[in-house]
Amino acid sequence: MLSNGLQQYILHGQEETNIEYKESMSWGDNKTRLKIIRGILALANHANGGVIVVGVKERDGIFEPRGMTKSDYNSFSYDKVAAFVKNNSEPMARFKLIRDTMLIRNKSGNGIQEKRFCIIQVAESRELPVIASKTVLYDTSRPHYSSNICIRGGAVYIRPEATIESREILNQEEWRELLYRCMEKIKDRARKLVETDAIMSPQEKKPKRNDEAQFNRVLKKDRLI
Amino acid sequence: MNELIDKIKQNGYWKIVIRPAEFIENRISSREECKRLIEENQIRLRGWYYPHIDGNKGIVFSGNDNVSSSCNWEEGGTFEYWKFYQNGQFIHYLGMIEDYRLSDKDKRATADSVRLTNVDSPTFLSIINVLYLVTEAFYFAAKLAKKDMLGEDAQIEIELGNVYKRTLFFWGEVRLLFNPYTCEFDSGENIVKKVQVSKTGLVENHAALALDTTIDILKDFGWYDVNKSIFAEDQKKLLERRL
Repeated sequence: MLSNGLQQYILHGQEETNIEYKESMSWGDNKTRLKIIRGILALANHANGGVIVVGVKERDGIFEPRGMTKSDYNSFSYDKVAAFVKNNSEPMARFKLIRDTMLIRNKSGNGIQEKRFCIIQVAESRELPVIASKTVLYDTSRPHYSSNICIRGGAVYIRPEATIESREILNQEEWRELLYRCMEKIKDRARKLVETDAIMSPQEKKPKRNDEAQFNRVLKKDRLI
Repeated sequence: MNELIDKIKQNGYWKIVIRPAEFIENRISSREECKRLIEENQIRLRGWYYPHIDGNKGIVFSGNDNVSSSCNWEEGGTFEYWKFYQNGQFIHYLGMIEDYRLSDKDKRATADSVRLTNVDSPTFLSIINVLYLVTEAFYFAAKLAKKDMLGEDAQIEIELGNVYKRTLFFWGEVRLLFNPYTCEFDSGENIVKKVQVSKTGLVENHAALALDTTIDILKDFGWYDVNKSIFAEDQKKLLERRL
């Protein structure tokens, strides 16, 4: 049975920048893979990552946790999804695949049914944004019209708050936000190098005055440490 | 007051020390001046001010060269004690409120939400509480530094005790955690962060220093890839009193 935390994502009832819903689908179907890969690329570039929940159907703007068919559910495995993600993202987007069941009350409210769900939990990228490593077309027999492109090689995908969809990064504001987060991560690594003395100048190494021991004697006398 | 400190140390606790790098016995002229400095520089960003001053007794003279205040509020699960010396040293013990305010039922639900399994008596630490408390402590230190009470260089020491197997969580918020982040320090080992910074550095960069220290603390729970910009925004809300 799914944990309460994961059940919250299923029952949340609307898509967010960090939650994407998909109805029951088979990983064996190429369309499924295409629908999911764009979401994974976008969530990997989202602050704190996010989840793709498979088994929630949208009808007239309402998201219903209907669960997955047994064969669709069984078609998902970490290895299969990972192979596809590895092939299409650079650096490879990090994710976990959670397959489990949850008890859902019937629409009529009379009974409870056990439903199957797959949750792909995507982690935020480490220092560099995740990019699509190659162009993938919805229909390989048709030309590279923009409407036929699922993901474009070299493009960066995001899930902006305004539209809540996984799409290519479009404007300088979105770039600025993404680059700021990358910069902070890189700065953090550089700071660690400084702390480990790797790039510290001799002047900076000059010991600073530190009367900690004397202060601590006062605290010891007062039995505060 | 040592009974209160012993009580605080029975569960998870914070120890915060702010002091000048250089020891000068009577850096602050009197205990009255110590009292005034605390009152005038108290950080008032949320309902509970930093440092807290007892509503009944206020700040008391607790020795020949120091003042102090405490809070022993059982119902609210809030236990604090601080002392401020004329040498400029401030020491503050606080109980981790998570150990008092989360019922067993809350703990079970929290364990479930962070996918923490096979733990009989889980203990938790609120991520946002860490950010807020550390931010308040550094801000308070910056205000003391600005009044020239910490000399040219100041030291800020933040210690978290009884953290063995303690797990991070977001209190009352739906935020994703990729893993259950649990402190794997040996039992009895405390998390200790020490920062020594110039007066100017502290006054101008107290928020950034607090944010870095917070992230450093979170790393000790195994959370290595914290998104700094998210917490920078949370911190900004606190500092701008937009909570």
